[in-house]
Amino acid sequence: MILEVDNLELSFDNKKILRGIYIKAEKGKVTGILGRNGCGKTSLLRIIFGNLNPKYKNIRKDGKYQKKNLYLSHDIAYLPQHRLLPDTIKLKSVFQLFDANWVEFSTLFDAFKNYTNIYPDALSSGELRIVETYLILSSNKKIILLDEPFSYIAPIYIEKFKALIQERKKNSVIIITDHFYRDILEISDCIYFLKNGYSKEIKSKQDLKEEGYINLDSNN
Amino acid sequence: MNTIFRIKTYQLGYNFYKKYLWASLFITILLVFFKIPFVLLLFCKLALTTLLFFVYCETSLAQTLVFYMNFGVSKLRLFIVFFLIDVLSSTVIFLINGLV
Repeated sequence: MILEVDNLELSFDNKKILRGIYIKAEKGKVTGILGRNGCGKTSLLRIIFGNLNPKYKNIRKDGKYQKKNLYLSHDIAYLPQHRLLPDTIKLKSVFQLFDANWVEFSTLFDAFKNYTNIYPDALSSGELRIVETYLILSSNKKIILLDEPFSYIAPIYIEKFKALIQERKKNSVIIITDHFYRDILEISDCIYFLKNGYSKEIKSKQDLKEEGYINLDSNN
Repeated sequence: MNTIFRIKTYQLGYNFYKKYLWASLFITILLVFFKIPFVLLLFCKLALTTLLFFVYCETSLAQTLVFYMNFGVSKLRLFIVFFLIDVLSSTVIFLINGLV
């Protein structure tokens, strides 16, 4: 599957956030989105998912224009930047809803072994993020959107998720955004940088420096 | 299959409803206690559900609905299921009160 997004126009209070965007994401490849705070990365993912409606948008799956919001098609999963899971449902039930395998999860993240009967409220922000990221990656959807999946997560778990993302990309289109740019550069097959409402394909760290996103002198 | 006909939608709807279960039961018992006609009871519940829907649409609570959207359930469908479950529980309480 190939997912393409262009002709976007999104404004907040007369300020144009997105206007010249072209994103192409394919199955078998991880597409990374980088950009400074407030450049519209989260808005872009929300527009693709369908819970934010811009003035104009053109989203195509395999070249076919998608009139309906993508989330209504049941083949997209979205990990938002904010908390995903409600308080009112036990982890065990959440895993059933997502058709995810608890045993597989607790084998990969053994610290969670005894958590099956607890509510999300009992987890720390980092633990919750681990569960949510795993659920979205395990949802077997054709399109997976990850908004800052590495926030609050310990480096050892980030490595596990990077391996999981590489595994899942075989069956899904994966679009990921995060400020952990080294991780994004490492796992992405294609990277877009958002600036002033426009997207630009990035090939190297040097391009990020030229865009003023990183300072290579102190971050290499 | 249309989302409204899937069992999972009702599981999710009940999960969402649980948050407001006690408040809803309290309102129903109060209305039943004052011998409000059943149609008026349903109208009150519809009005409250509509109000809650707009609160969710217009405030940051909207972001909590992303969980349900991940299962293809839109805001409107979620609140329709919410209302159906509420009507069911209100009917049960109304009928129990009639028997007592």
